[in-house]
Amino acid sequence: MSVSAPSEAAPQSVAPASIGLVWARTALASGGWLLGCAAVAVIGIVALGLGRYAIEPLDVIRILLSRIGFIETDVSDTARRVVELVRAPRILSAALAGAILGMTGAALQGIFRNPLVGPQIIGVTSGASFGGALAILLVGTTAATVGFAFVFGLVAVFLVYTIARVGGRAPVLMLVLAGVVVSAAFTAFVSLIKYVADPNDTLPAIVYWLMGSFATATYDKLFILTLAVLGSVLVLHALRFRINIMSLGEEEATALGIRVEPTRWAILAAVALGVAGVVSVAGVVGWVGLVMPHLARMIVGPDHRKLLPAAALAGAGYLIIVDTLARTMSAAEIPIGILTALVGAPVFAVLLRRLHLKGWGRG
Amino acid sequence: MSPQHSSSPSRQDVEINPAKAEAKFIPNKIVKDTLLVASFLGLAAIAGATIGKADDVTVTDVNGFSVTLTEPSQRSAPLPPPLGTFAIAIPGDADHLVTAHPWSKAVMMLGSLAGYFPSLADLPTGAVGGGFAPNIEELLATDPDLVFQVGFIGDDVLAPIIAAGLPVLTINVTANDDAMDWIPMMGAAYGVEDRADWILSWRKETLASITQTLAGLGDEDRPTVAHLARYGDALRVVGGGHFRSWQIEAMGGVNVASEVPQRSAEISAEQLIAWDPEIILLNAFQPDLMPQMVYDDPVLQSLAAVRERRVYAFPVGGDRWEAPVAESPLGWMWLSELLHPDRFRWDYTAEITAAHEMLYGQTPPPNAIGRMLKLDANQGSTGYERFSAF
Repeated sequence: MSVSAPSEAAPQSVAPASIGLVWARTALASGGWLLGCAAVAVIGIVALGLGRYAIEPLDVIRILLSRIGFIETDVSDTARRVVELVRAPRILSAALAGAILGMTGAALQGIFRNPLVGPQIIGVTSGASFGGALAILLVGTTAATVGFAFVFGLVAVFLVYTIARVGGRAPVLMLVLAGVVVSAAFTAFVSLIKYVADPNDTLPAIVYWLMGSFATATYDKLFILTLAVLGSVLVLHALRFRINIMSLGEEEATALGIRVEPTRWAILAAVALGVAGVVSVAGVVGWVGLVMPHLARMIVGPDHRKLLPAAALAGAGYLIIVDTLARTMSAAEIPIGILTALVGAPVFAVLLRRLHLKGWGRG
Repeated sequence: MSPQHSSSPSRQDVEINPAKAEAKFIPNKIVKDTLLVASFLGLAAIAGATIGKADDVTVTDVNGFSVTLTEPSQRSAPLPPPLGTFAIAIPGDADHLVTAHPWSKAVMMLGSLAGYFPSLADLPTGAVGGGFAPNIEELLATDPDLVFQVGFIGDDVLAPIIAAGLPVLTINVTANDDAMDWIPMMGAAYGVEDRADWILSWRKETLASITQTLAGLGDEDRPTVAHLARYGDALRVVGGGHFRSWQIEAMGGVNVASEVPQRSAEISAEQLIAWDPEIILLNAFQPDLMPQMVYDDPVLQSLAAVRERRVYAFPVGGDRWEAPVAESPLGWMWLSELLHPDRFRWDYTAEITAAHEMLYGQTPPPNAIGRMLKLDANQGSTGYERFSAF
């Protein structure tokens, strides 16, 4: 893996030639955002109409409208339960998970100035996996799984940072290498837990959880995910300018008056929170955080003020589609990690070929 | 005693689809001939034929592996989970096994066997892990004179055992009742062919009797059944590629998930709703599973099986009755009566007592029958009172 910094990923400079041009650009941009949000909403509603249990698409709309109180409907109780209790929490979970994976991936790629970085590379995912597996082994409640996943996600990032610190600073190369080391260690710990887990009871629970699936999504899990995502998004959104400056490089950022270390810490903590939230409710969902930021960067460019929400939208739409495939293609669920990798790898290959044309290749 | 390996090209493929594996090898005459010879040897050994020296017994398994025993096995290591309790039932005591799979040990502790044979509490399980990979040093530490291992997941799980110089016999686990092969093989290995014959004929006769009682059953009279291989933290259903699917069909039911080719597969709750089985069976691998959990599940309220309260937890005797075990005939009695209460009425006290006396030489205590049948867990389910009326 190359960890050399890509050529300058300068934020798009806002140097308006005229006020009119800025206004036109803003209007165009708002239209784009509306279109993006609408696209994700449409994907979500279409997905709500698809599934192994046949429900008329119109009935799905009726169920939604009647839930809001607009209309009365005599759609069967079964259809209502399927839409409201099975599909809706699942689609919302997939959307939120995809959004936060895309957004954290974009933030990490920015501060590490490396297009190959995803949440898996800095150890958060394997740390959270270990925490969740440990909780299933020792405690066995959903709250513990989520809590442990989060704490160990943070512990992993803390370890990465500690290992990478040289002379008071943590160079990017060291961070990535430390991430590889810590990931490997936590992956080994996960294997150890699987080895000592009771093969009758605990082991299958750990294995299913690690495989990554939204099949058991409920509103309780959705609530937990929402809290984690909200916390993460608020921090990342607040720091979006700083991510731009950090993406110029450490020296430039320091010269521009940014306190690099605490900023990086805040971003990593936010990433850990969001990713741990996803891992705790859906297990390990790979590739989304790596590929979606690139797709978004091709569309909106490298300015993190636009890139973060764009990567979130792309991730949300993408994961809803992939999860819909996972639950509809066959009677048996297809583990979502398989599909995200199958779709993600070739898409990533194509994106890599185009990288030097857009975004990372600028300058 | 020395392990010999005749060629057995089909053993990698047997798991998924024996028919396919067979078809694949037909063009090759040599292989075909070898298979014929192997099957002949297998049949001969299964029949308890004596080959070689006067007291030597050669036992050949379905995959063509054979061992020559100078005396019956006294210290066997049954590594595949279902064979652990077979290694007790076939010889009728707990003295013939030196280790077992952790799953097997778990059910020994959970069911009747821990009470019958207290020494099982100390049975080591380190010789085989969650997969089927043997831990050779742990295995050697138990000093076995014969190892049973699965024959359908490649050489990696066999080669270390063979390299260690231990005699090994293999089994297949397909979507049929493979125990019909295991019983005579183990009977020959332990030198208890008479007991094996009895256990096998009890199995065959029970099945034949049920098949006969079900004769003329129309498709519309076969209830649809989903057998949940996991419920709670994940939803898994028994697919068409499993013994438990064969079992449902043989007992006069229809496995709603027979289209799923795997042994078991994760499904969405929505898929279960789409299938809408009339009866749901709960696995006993999750010992705490109770029908009430399904009745309370808000997502599954519209299922016919929930509305009519026809969710049942599978009983556990000496082993889990749902699996291919020595007590499978008891499981078949239970399942056939559950699916067709109008056609079957078994006397569980008599049947279980007779079975345990023959298999383990032990009489179950009076309160044990109800515990095996899970009267407490199943009491809220439709028609289950008939199982407590003894």
